[in-house]
Amino acid sequence: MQDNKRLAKLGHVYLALMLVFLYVPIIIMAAMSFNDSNLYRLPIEWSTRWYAALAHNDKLIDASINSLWVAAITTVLATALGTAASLAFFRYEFRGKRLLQLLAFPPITIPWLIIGTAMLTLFFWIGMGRGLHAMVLGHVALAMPYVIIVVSARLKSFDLALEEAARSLGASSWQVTMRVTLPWIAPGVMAAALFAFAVSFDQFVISYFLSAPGVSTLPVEIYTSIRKGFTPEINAISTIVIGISMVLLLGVSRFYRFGGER
Amino acid sequence: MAQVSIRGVSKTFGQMKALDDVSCEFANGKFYALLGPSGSGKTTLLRMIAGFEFADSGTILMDGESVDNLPVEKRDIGMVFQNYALFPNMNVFDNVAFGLSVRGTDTTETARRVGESLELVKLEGLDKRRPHQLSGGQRQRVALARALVTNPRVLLLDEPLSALDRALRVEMEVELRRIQRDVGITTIFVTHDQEEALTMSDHIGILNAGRMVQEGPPLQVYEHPNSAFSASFLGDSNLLHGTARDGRITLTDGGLIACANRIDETDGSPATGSIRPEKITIMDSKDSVADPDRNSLDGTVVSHIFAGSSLTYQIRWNDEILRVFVQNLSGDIFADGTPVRLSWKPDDTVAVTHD
Ligand SMILES: Nc1ncnc2c1ncn2[C@@H]1O[C@H](COP(=O)(O)OP(=O)(O)O)[C@@H](O)[C@H]1O
Ligand SMILES: [Mg+2]
Repeated sequence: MQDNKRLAKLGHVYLALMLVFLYVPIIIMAAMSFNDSNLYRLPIEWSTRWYAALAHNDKLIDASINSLWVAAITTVLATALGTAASLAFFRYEFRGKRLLQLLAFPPITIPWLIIGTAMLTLFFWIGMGRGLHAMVLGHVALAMPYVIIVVSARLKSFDLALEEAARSLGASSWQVTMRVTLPWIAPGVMAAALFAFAVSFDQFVISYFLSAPGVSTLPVEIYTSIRKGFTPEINAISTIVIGISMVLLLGVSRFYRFGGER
Repeated sequence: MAQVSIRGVSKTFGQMKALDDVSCEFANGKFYALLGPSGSGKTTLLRMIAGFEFADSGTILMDGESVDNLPVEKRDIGMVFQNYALFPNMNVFDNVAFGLSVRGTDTTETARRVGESLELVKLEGLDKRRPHQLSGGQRQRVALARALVTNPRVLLLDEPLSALDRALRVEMEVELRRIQRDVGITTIFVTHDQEEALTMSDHIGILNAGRMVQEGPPLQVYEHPNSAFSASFLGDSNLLHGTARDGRITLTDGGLIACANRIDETDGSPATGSIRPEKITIMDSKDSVADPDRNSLDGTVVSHIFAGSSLTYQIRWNDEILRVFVQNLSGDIFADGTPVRLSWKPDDTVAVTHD
């Protein structure tokens, strides 16, 4: 009994430390983005000057717009392809299915650095080169496994007899998918789409490798700025990005219960 | 409405022979019960007619035309699944309307036909309910209305009543049969319940281990089982083993049994007679059987079950236990341990093949 209580207390301490470790840097950064001083002087003098400065930083604004575009297109492609793949894995038994399922996951396990290098080499070799289009391809490959995982988890609760019932009533494969299967897995697909968006929007390494000079995404642009010399503008844009990410995360949790199926 | 013909269909899953050269006819407008124990291939055959499985050999015809190359959605069938498979994201109306809607039927026609179907299954007024707001019996009716709304050529049901409790099952048996008669649709009803098969169908087919053992109207199959399997699977049966002799059966204790049908086996080969428990008359062993043509044997009452209007005796004869079912006409019961004499007509003794 006594031991259990002590263990529980230890658990709470551990949890508190974890949260501090995760969130203190973020909170400091957000606080400093509102500090007038660029030297992190305390106490904080409230100011929105860094946010105002952002509005005139064309590079960061362009990079943000690029990031949104790339993430949006990645989301559509990765969600569509990943959902289709999940449906195929769910519906059909075919030769090499296990192998194919395994082959979809290396983007999660292989270091991004290596994938980035490999893609860069390939894209130059086939004459496609760098740029936002190359980035989209890279991001889709990266995001698709996440889509497959999330949609497949949702499909586990789907009764295949429903598809058979629909077919017996005269529905074509397309009608079965659109009217019976998709409505059921829609929450999973929504969660997967938000995941895909986040994967693309946060991606740095592969974007860095595949961006053409002068055309970059937000993480790449932030990195470049920091190398030239840090300004609290970076704190400001990062705070905005974190805000967006949090909203996305809330969106995902609306549809997808972490660690379990809703 | 259509006639469905199965011609020499076989199907193997891995090493498992699910169907072995099955042939049968499902007559136009008739209610056919496909009866067999679990794993005998009933579902496989039904799914093959629907188009979900494909035969390794043999062919399936509807109205004389092969449907082997028709996909499920073109076969024009109605199917009721074991767990109903209602679409959870649609209400009752949309569930029933599904088959019309995928065919592009216009809204007024759809509303009219869905209304008719719901009326047929006595579910008016529940259009807006979701499947999870319905009882088991109501779901069953929705599934039936959904399957019938497109006027399919054949209605396929895979153990549709097995998920219901007993009282509801009996009610649905009656309902199902009424609806089938109203619509006049060719119906194939898969069940492992011999009582369901007997009470509901125009025609019974008994499957065992992927083979069609026997087919015929319920009364005929019951009265004239062709095998030990069909005798004991459809209804209860006493099986007496012995050897063939002059077209009769010599029992192990030397007694001789005459049968309704000729025994084709050569003398001395094993033979089995099947007698239904209700065909047997039981009397005191001191009394003698009036009609000398009747088959008879002597045994001892082991136990009895009194059910008011009827009695079931367990009788020990040699090393076997025979069951005798009698109506409670006299109010007398033979006590356990009493020596008794059993007799029955040769006509009620069916020589069956043993497998
Ligand atoms: N898809 C399948 N894969 C492998 N074996 C199967 C499959 N479907 C049925 N079987 C086997 O075929 C036999 C007949 O099955 P089934 O038609 O479902 O029997 P029933 O409906 O009479 O219980 C069983 O032994 C079953 O295990
Ligand atoms: Mg079955």
